[in-house]
Amino acid sequence: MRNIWIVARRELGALFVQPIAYVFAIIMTLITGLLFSAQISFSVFQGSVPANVSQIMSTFTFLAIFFAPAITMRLLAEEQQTGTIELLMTLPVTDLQVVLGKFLAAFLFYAMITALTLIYPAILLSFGNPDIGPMVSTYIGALLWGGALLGVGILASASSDNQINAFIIAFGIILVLYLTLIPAELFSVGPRLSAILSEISLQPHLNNFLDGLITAKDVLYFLVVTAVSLFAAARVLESRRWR
Amino acid sequence: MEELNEPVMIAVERLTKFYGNARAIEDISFSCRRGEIVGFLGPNGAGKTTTMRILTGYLPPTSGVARIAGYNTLTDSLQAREHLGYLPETVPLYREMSVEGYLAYIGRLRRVPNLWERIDEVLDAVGLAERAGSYIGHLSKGMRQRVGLAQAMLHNPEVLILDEPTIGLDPRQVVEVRELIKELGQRHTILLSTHILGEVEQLCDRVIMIIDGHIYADMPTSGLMGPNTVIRLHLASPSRDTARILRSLVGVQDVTNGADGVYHVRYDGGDETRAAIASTAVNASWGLLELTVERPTLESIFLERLREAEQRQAQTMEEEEE
Repeated sequence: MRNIWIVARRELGALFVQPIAYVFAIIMTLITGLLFSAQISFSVFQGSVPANVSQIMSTFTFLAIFFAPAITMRLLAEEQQTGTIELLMTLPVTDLQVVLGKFLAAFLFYAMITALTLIYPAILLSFGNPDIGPMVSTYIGALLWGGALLGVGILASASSDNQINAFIIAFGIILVLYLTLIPAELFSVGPRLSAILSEISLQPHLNNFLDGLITAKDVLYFLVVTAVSLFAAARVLESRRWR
Repeated sequence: MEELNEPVMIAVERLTKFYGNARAIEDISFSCRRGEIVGFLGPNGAGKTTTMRILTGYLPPTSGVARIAGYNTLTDSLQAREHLGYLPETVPLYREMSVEGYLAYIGRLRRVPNLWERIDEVLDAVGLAERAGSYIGHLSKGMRQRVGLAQAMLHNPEVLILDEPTIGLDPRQVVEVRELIKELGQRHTILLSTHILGEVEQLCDRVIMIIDGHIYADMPTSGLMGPNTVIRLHLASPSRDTARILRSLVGVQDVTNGADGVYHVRYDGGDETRAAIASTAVNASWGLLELTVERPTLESIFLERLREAEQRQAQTMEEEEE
């Protein structure tokens, strides 16, 4: 456990000396901020749906599809490219501890950026009287969703020593997981396959959280995707040496 | 030999490694005791780095066993790693970290007690105390090499494995790092690879030559130099009988006649014989210009071994063709 934290702490330090961390923070707050103010003006002047957090976080989580792989692409690919992995793998640290440490750092960073958006529910709560339940479920969903995307990203980063490749692999996997919903809903693939495809797809599981619904199945789905990715990443890291 | 009582810290038994179908090393066995500095010598691609990577647990062997301080590097990998400091060929540094930040990171993962004191000590030892706060990305190549060395010795490991530790250093730094290694070698077991032969002569108690994945020699560096048994004579006016006369001296085994009055005299190594050769040369008025004892250099021994290896390889290839 201590090793995981030591690795995570270094990784967070490395993240914050690079401009990428700040660029992400700015982009995410800028886009969600624009969206929020637009929501407010629409609901005030045109009497549409009241401003709500789940709409903002729906955009936020969609953007995470791009920025989660961008956070994780560096984590293991760079170590493999520069050769620092050779040191890390000869320290008294297990491969899984390294992977988990990297994941923890990425997840904490993601959580920090997510926390920046807490300003919107804070504003809503101070001026109105919105339902707190869906807000909580939305944020839980956003964190679980982020974990799954970052897990996939780490797996991609473990399997390549090129950051760009790592990004593309992660983005590809996430896109496939995201898009299985389309054949499930649009094409007549039969009810059985359609059900399976929409269970595999990332999006429907998140939608429940955004709608204010927390189900064990959805929680489990994200946790399983995360765990499988991370264990696979540790195995990949190991096997790349064995060849 | 008191060294024989020291415990074996590195034990390698019949180590073989294939990358796919390509053989990197085959059937390598050796061991190193505490307090030994062992030089790992060989041309590029001979299998030095592969062997070291197996010893550090970074690569698994195809077959055979490697032990560090008694721990199998494959099955007890974590314990083996605890007793080991490693400087890989490409120095593993995080450019965006400061020197002390980097050492602190490694030290925490290694559970080094009194970490900051130890970091100061180590930085002093490698002569980087004044650059503790510098970013690694801003350091020169020689300094980075020394940061790598600092990292390897940070936890005071019993075994140090150094892959080309003096590469990229300027001459003064080379001397400093060699002194440091020599000092460390008194308490630790050090296996270092190099293709600088002089380095092995200066630093190592023992040399292991590895060529094409096989060990071709494993001997003490002192034995390598051997008794000095060849004298080079440079004569201004040798007579036709010079070779015959020299050969007739007691203790002289062979005389070869080179060009320009240079003679190589192989003898029994005794001082008396050497004196006899000198006085004969003077008394016979051959115009003695120079008399030097030729030491077989590591270079010559190494190149000889390399030639042998190549010949053997050519032979086996011919046999296969037949």
